[in-house]
Amino acid sequence: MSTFLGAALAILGGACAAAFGGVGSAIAVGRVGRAAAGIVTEDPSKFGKVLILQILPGTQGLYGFLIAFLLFNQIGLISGDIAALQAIEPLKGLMYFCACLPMAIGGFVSAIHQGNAAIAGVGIVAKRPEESGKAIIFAAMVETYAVLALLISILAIFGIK
Amino acid sequence: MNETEYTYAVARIRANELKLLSADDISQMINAPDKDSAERILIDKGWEISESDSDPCEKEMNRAWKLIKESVPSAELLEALVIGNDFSNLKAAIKCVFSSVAPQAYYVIPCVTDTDIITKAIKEADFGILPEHLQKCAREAYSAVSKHQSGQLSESIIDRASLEAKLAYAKKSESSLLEKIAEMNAVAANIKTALRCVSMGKTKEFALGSMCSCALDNEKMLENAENGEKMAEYLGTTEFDFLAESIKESFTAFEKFCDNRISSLIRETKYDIYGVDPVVAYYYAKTAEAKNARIILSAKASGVPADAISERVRDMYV
Repeated sequence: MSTFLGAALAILGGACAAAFGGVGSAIAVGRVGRAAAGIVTEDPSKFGKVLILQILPGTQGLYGFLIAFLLFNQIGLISGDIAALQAIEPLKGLMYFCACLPMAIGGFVSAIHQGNAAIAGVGIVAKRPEESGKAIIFAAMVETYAVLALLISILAIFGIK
Repeated sequence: MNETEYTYAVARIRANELKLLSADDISQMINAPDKDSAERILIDKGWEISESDSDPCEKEMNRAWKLIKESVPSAELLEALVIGNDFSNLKAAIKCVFSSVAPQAYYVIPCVTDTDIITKAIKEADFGILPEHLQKCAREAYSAVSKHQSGQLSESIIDRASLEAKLAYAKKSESSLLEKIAEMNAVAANIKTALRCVSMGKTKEFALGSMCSCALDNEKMLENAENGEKMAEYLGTTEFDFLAESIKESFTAFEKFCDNRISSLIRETKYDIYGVDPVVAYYYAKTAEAKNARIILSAKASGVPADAISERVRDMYV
């Protein structure tokens, strides 16, 4: 059991990154979808514009998936390298777990808030469709923090020797 | 209910807000040369106006209520918006039945209770078929006319019950905006009742019986109802001090101030993305719009000058 503790901690970190990012994105994309449906009910020609806004908060789920994939590849889980997994010491496993936290927490929180910005953007599309580019920029600004979380998690995963 | 449950409804409302009349549209209507030109502005904004329509404003309100019912997760929670029309219909039914006139033309829509049920209940004096919120007051109002031949008492019973129902329904709506508006409307109605009762020399019992329970002390209000000035003094010592200035002027100014106050309250929700308040705000925006359209169209039909119309119109949401 103790031989796999390090690996278990590392896998838990990857799972958190994928799960929290995915849950945040699912909630946000669902909410924006509801708002988008409201606009399209009244004016179906705005489908394209609101679809972009709906997609935006979905990226955190992808980033979470990417972190989990990179980590699992790094520790040998994807290749099924049991020896490599056994070789992960508990402290190293904990370090991998911590490396995933920026993406897990940053991804979840930024997805929810990007969803809120995107819903407000849907309101802009409803009233001023010619300003939809600005609505996309407002929502995209939140993406910065998801990208920063992604970068720091990647750097940390590859930095652990 | 979770605030995000209204995301779809709020988005639909935002799309429909584009069709609301703006202050510029109202100004154009006021300056239109005649009623037909004013109506054309409404038609351009999507209003359905035809020769056969007795009241296009009512039709617009019905459309707004239909939109809300279609969009919100539970329309029952927002019945406070239209519950008052049930009581107006009850009043119409009692008057018409006792005058042997068909009431259908006097009914107001949108409403919660089927008007046929109200007609049947009053015609057959079978109040059990009415929904709970109408039963007691229908029985009392009916008996005020049949036993005491007092149309005034009957109306005051219904008016009081209407305000109480609006307050109760607003509380269950989970909308802080709706509660605030219902509370202000109840206080405003009590102020008007107190002033009217005192000026007409009605007894204290009659006056208190006609006032609904609201955030202010009705007895104190009645004690200060000698005239607008004294009422304003009293209001200045309460949380409703903002109503004081307008009550000094006249009832018309007071009513206009109350409507404008509602417009300023609903404007606070203009950029909200969640919750029920934007939906409530839309219905009140439509109410202000319908009220203005009605004022302008009837003024145009009677040849009232533009300046006089401008004094009467309410602030718009857009």
